[in-house]
Amino acid sequence: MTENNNNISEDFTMLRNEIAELIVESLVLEDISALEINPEEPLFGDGLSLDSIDALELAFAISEKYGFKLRSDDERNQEIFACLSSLARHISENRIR
Amino acid sequence: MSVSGRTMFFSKRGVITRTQFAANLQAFRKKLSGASLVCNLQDDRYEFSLGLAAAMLNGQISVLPSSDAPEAILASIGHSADAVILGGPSSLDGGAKRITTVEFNSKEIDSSEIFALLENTRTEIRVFSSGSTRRPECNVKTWETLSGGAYVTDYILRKLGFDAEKTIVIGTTPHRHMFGLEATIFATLGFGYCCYQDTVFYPADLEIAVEAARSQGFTNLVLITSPAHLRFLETTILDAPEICCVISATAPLPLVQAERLEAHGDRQVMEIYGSTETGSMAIRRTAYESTWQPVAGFALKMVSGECLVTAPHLPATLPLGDEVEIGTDGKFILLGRTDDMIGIHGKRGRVSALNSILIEAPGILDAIYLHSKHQDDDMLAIVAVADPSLGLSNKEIIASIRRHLLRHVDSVFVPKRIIFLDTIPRSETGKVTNETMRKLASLAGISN
Repeated sequence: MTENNNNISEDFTMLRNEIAELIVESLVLEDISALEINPEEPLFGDGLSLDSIDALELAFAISEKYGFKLRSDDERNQEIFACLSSLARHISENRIR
Repeated sequence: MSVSGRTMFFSKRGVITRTQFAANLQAFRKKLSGASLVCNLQDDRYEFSLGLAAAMLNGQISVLPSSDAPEAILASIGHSADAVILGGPSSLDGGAKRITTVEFNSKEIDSSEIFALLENTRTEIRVFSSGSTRRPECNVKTWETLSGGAYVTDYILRKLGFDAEKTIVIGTTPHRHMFGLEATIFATLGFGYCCYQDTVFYPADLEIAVEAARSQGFTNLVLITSPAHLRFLETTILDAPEICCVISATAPLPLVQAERLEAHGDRQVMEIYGSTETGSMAIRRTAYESTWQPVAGFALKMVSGECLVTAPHLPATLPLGDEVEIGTDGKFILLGRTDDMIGIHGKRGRVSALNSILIEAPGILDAIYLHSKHQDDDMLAIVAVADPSLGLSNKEIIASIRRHLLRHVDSVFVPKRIIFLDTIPRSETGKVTNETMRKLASLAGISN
């Protein structure tokens, strides 16, 4: 059981790192590397300071890579984009590739 | 179908007719009674229009804040007692009275009288724009000025031979932004177009809107959008032949993009030029012409090197924030923004105003905005001098600067790049010379 949990956690960490890379690449963030993104810090506002067009860019990159689409009428949007970890959780639950 | 009984709003949940809108409008007017001022944050375009029209008919000032930041909302309301907020986040509770639910009744009443009353209102609608001044800038509008701007959208669609009652306007541009307000809300209220209610932001949202229009039997779809959104929506548009017109504004549309969108079928791609102060004022079909044709009675003239515009529906002559070259036929070419004006993702701000906000950020001794002009979006950076007595890390100071800016300006004006120097070279009068600015921009990696 412990081993399984560790595996899940390792997979999750890998996915989170992959998404951090995707954020840095798709938004051309030059001042920060993927490893420097604190997974619990806000992506928008005073954290990474992303704006709404960044969200659109990121959503586009996510749909290309993971094969599912984000929608405005999803009530969880604020929660999904809160931080890297929450975005990774949403992607791991909804990805189709 | 009678004029009054036709569709006014629709979504995947169904349609709302003009007669139903009129009946609900009368009911909602009562709900707003007693309010001194109505701050309208509704995302749904039906609910937004209902609140706006009710306030106009009641003679209550509408306030449309430039951002959802609580500080921006409270600043736009000012000290008005008895203000009511429509929609918005729950974090606003405890301030003004907030109405979040709009009941819908399928009852119908004759709408012709109520729309005639609306057209004669003189009630103020205060549209706030961010980043142009020290505080959000208040632009006072009325039915006359906003429907004057919506006339430009109507002019384009009539020239294309579209019948308003069979034509859907789908907006990606937020409807508290001047272009979105005119081209979706006032085109619907004032010119009889039918408006898609829901937010269209992600490509999937547009697919849902097109599907909803198909299921209601609509075939003329007009997308009201901006280049920043269009980049991501192109595939969806090309897959939907019903989108027979794209109207873009807020920033120059790349010619190649207009050509790609026009390459198949009968779709026309039009651009509207305007500003928060003037509203929509000129048009061009991007793939075929580079000059702008003023419409709605707009006239431009150069006075002492500055371009001034007039229009019958505007109360005063207004200066343009852009440099233009006016032809003998009245058409004009845009040469660029004036030096102090920056544009990012379709939003505009004055560097001088941004600097006056920046300098008050906690944790710094000095700071200045750096910018370099580019065809589409300008690039921004900040150079700051940390206050060493506070013992904060650069990361903490960056977070402090961003937090401070976000309280006052739109997030597009909060740069991702903030660099630190020991001092910013200023002249005796405190100015930073153009040459120093160029060097600093190069140091920050944003030179063009």
